[in-house]
Amino acid sequence: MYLAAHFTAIFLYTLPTTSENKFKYLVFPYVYPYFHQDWRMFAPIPKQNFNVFVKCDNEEWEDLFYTINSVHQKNRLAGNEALLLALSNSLRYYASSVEEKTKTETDDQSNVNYVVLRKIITNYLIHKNGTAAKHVQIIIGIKDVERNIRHYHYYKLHN
Amino acid sequence: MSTLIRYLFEDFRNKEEARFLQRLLGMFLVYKCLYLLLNYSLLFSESSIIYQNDVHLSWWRQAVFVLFNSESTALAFIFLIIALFSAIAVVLTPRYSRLLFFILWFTINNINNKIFSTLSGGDHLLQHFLFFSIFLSGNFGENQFSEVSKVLHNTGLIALKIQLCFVYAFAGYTKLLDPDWMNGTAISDVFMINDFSLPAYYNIQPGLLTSFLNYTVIAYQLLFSVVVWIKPLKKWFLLIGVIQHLFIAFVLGLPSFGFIMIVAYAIFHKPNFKNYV
Repeated sequence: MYLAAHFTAIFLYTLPTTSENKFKYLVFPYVYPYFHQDWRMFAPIPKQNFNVFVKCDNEEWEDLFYTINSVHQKNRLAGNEALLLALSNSLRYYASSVEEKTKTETDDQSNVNYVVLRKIITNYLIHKNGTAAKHVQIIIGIKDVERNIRHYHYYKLHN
Repeated sequence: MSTLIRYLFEDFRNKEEARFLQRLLGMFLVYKCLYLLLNYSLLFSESSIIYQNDVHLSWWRQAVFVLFNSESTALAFIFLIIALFSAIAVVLTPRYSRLLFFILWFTINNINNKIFSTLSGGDHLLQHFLFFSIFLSGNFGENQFSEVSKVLHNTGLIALKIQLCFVYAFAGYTKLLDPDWMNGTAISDVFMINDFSLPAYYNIQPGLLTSFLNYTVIAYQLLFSVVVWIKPLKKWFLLIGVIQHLFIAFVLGLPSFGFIMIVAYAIFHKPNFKNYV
C-alpha cells in the first residue's frame, strides 16, 4: 500500500505537462526534498556551446571552459566531472536569463544566474592561481548550434 | 493478493542480487567519496565554487540540509569520512547493512545537497537506491524478527525494481514528446555540444547510424519495464544497457551517471562471473 502511494506521488510529481502541474503542489510536501526526481534526461537536448574567456591582471586571455572540458575529455575518470557540470549547468541557466545580443554587462547582483557563474569562475581562479587576481575581465561566449548564432557578454569585475 | 502476500512473507527474495547490489553500491560510494575528497577544496572550502544561500524548510525536511546550512568547512570532511567508512563496511561485511545504509543515505543526501550544482540524474538515483536499500537485509538471518525482516527486505526489493523501471519509462516517455528525438536527430545534436561529446564526434552529421542509435535509445527506455521481467531476454537486454551507459560515461562525459545506472542493474541480475572465466 505504501509503495503504491509512494510511486503514485512520484508519478504525479514528475508528470510532464505543458500547463501548470497542479498535482505537483499536492504531493510536493511528501516528495521534496527526500524523493525529488526528474528523469527527462537529454529531452530536450542542450543547444548551446560556450566559451569563458578570462584575463587576470596582466596575464593572457584564456578560455576556461575549453581548458576544463579538454582535461575532462582526455580522462573521464580524472575527477573533473563535478567542476565541468557546475560550470556548464550555470552557463546554461545564465544563457537562458540574458539577451541574445553582444554587449558589455554590469558586474552587479541583479542576475542571480550571473552571480552563481561569477562565483564559479572567480573561486576556480583562486584555486588555480593560488591567489585572487586584482583585475579580472570575463567574456562569456554563447553559441546556439541550431541557429548558428553567437553572442558575447563582457564583464569587468570589481574586487 | 495471495501471491503478493506469499512473495512478501515466505522467504528473503533475490538474496544474491540484493547482496550484489549492496556491495556494488558500497564500491561506487568508495569511488564517489574519494573523488569528492580529491576535490574537497574546490567543492567544500570557504572558497568553494558552489553558490551558497541558506535553505529554510519545515523542520522535518531540514535533516538533509544540515551540511548545506552549516558554516563549518570541517563538517563536510566528517560527513565524507563517515560515508567512506560506511561504504567500505558495506562492501566487506553483510552485518548491520540496514544501519549502514541509513547512515549512507543521510550523509550522501547532505553531501549532494551541499554540492547541488554539480549533480547529475545519477546522483538522484543513487539517493533513492540508498533509501530503499535501508530495507534490504544483509545476512538474511533467521531469528525472532525474521518475519518482519523478510517483509522489509522484499518490500525494498520491489521498490528498487519499480524505481529503476520508473526512471526508464519516464525517460522514454519524455523523449516521445521531444521533436529532436522523434525526428531522429537527437544523438547527432548531442555530439555537437562540446561538453557532452569528444572532438572526434563534433562534426558528425545526422545519418543512418545516428538515427538508428536515436530510436534504439527510445525503444530501450520504453521496453525496459517489460523486457527486464522476461527471464531469457533479461541478461542480453541488460548487457545492451551496460554498453549504452559506458558510452554515456566515456563519450558523453558523465561517468558518475553511467556507473550508477550500471550498478542499479544488479537488482535484476547477478552475473555468475565464474561461468565467464
